[in-house]
Amino acid sequence: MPTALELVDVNAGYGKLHILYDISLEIPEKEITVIVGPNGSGKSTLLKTIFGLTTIYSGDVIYRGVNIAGKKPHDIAKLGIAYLPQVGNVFDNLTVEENLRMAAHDFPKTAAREAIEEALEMFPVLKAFRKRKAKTLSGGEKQMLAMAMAMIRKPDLVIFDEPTAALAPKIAVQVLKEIVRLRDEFNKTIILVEQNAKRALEIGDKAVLLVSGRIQFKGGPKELLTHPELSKLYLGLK
Amino acid sequence: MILEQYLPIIIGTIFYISTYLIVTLSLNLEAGYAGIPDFGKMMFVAVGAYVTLNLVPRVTGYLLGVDTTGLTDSNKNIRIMEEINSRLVGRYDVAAVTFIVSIVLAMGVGALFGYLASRPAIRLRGDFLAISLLAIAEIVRQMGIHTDFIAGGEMGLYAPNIFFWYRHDVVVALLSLALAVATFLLLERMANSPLGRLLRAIRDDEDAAKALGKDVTKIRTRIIMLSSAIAALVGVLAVYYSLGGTAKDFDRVTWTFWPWAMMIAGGMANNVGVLVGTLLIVIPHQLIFMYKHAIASYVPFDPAWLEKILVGMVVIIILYVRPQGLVPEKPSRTISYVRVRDFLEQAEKE
Amino acid sequence: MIGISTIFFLETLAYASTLALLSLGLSLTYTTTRVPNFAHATIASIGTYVLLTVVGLMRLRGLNIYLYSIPAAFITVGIITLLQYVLVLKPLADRGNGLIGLMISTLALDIILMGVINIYADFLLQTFKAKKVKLQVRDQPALRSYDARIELFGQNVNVSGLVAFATLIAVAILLWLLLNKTKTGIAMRAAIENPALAEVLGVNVNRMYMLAWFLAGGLAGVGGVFMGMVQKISPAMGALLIVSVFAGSIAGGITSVFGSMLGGLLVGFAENFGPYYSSLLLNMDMTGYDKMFSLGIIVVVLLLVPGGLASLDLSGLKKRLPLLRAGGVEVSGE
Repeated sequence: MPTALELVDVNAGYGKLHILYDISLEIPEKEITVIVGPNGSGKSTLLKTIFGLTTIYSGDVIYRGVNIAGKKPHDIAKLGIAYLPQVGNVFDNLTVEENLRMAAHDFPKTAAREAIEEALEMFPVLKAFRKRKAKTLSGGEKQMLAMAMAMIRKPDLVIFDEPTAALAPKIAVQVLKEIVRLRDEFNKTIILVEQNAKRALEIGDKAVLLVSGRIQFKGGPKELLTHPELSKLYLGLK
Repeated sequence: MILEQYLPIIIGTIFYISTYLIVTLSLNLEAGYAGIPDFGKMMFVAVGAYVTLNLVPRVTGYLLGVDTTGLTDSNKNIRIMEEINSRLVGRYDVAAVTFIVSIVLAMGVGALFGYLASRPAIRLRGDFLAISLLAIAEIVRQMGIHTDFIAGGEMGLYAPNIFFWYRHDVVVALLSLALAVATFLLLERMANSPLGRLLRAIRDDEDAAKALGKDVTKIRTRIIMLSSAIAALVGVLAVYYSLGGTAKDFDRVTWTFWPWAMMIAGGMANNVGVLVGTLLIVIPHQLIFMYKHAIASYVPFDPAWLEKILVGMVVIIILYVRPQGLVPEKPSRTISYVRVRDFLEQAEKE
Repeated sequence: MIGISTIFFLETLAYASTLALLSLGLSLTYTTTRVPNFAHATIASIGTYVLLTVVGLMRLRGLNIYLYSIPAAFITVGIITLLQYVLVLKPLADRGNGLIGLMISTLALDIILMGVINIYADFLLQTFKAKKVKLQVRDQPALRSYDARIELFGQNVNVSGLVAFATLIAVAILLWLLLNKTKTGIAMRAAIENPALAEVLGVNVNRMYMLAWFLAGGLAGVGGVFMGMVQKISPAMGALLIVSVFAGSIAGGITSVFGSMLGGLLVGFAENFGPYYSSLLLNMDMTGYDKMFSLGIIVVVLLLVPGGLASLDLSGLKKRLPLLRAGGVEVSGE
């Protein structure tokens, strides 16, 4: 598989707070890369760094041959990268349709309408809720809406920050199924950060273990799941 | 004599620096250390004055055998006060009692107002507290102006001259200076005490303080009460300084915004900063006052308006250039540096 | 209404509509920066001076007053308020000032504007004198005698109350359409609710906030015009008005734009009818106590329903009632 995104010796953090150390990583095209690690290991920071939401002290973030380190989030979004934050990824006081309109807000009118319909086709569940405010949706439905919003721009690379946090296990499985569908049906490249390592690694194609801001492991998910020390030390698996 | 020419302005400067220092220090206790945005400061100074104008002369009158019925009626007030002042001469005992009563009553009523005015929003977010304190203070002022029975309305009331034995303005100015020094020492001590650290902890992380079992609302209420009692003292001083007063004297610009400006300029949560900020604003104000006529010939309008604009701009510029003020907050010293050094030196010798 | 004359009712309607315009704008700016703008009432009084200038220099009478002074006040005051956001609040917030610093900056601006209005009043006075205009710039009585008049219920009355209320209704409809039916409006709501997400989606949040501040200021300016038609004009009028404006916003729920509009109306009526009816009831003169009624509204709302009337839906009330019976609602933080 060719590489979609590559991080080369990246050091990053928030202001003076250094969090990520010498991160080098390749994200293969049309695969799901799962990033796991204990709390506070810098998983979310890594995603934010790719999307231009942190301070990068050194290193390069190369997306399809272009160095995007230091670019502004809305410029990165234009290159075809979508980022779904862990919380606050939909507008609660806007209706489902208005939320989708916001995601397409700089599209010409007809293109926006088409994009919204397409997104609703991808997540048919949402069709019934068009006029309902997002705050009335369930946790799972909100995640679908957030995904639909991300799909409006037809991104090639989608970054998920703990999409199943605070969801009931049954619904979490559904959301992960939708993520698999994005890869299989729509050929998206996906980076996924998950708290529940086991569940995520089962659907992933590549695994990355982050500990204290450094990469401890890169390779196949099965390999990590069955690794005698790492899985026990950092993933709480026996 | 040059001294005689400048004496009033020197006395005035001492008086204003001292009284503003007291009010601003008390504001710094609430806002700087405890994070309480008291935008109703003028009300607490005003109630101290109301008490001294309205309640205290009744006590003095009683002690001197003067009938004080109709004290707040501006027609009768002047005659009653003339009678009190003429009998007061030489009665040091009555003067002393009057003074003590005015201090105690003003502080008590100040604390009571602090308690009552903070009730509606003490548990809410800071901006709600700021809004409600500002609103209540405006109402206290309007009530004072529009009704006669509080402070004589538009005309105001006279106050007894308890410092009949010397120039009263000089005595009040020096007394204010002494009180300012005392307030400074008291609040500086408090700031470095466990209470000071607790206040800062609440200000910086209210939830953490609550989690540690601190009753944040109760502590805040007490701080507002103490701070308001101190501010009410200035109302007393202001009335004795000018031997009278009206509710109009206590407006949002002079007794809420100015203390805030002084605190912001000098640096919040730092009593030395408050001193610097007070000097920085009172001295130019006195200079503008002194050279008002000279300035007026250069600008085609009243220099007082220009001063308002300048002070407002200075505050905004300081917030922009140095959000922490000219003298930033220091970490608190529990044991003084000198004592630690001495202790270490001694340990070395042994 | 019982015992209320048509004239008194219409004057109250003008005043209440003014407060509604001001409270609405105050909430609009509050939702963007989360800072209560203590300069808002003084900003509105700039609108009153625009009215005075336009009426005096153009020698307007009747409906022409509204035709010229409303757009002039809207644009002038809108721009001044926009500048407050662009030149003061935004830079201060970017420099890391917290709530207290930002609040004090609005108080500072209030004082600056008071100084500017006073200086402007001096200039206006000289211009009026030179042009032989018979208007005062300080303590000028309300411009009632300049107003257009119509027959209503057999009485000859000023139109200010009706114009003010009609303007308020038009503003409410237009604002609702803007916020719910246009792309810009939806983007503004999005930017207000979740600026970070809006930014990620490519919305220029700062531009949306600028629009909100311009609108809020413009509406305050329009409110100032009506103010001058029914109340004494003086540079200090903002100092008194501020209590009523905040009472309106708090009553309606300070983060709810339309709630604040209703809150402003409520406070306006309470301030005029309250003293009137209580005078009758208590058999003593209660005029001059009008602001006590707005203070009362602030205190009651903060103690019982800190979220304001907008937070009062039926389910919320049901949840609250047992708490109230149990001895008060405790609310802290967000």
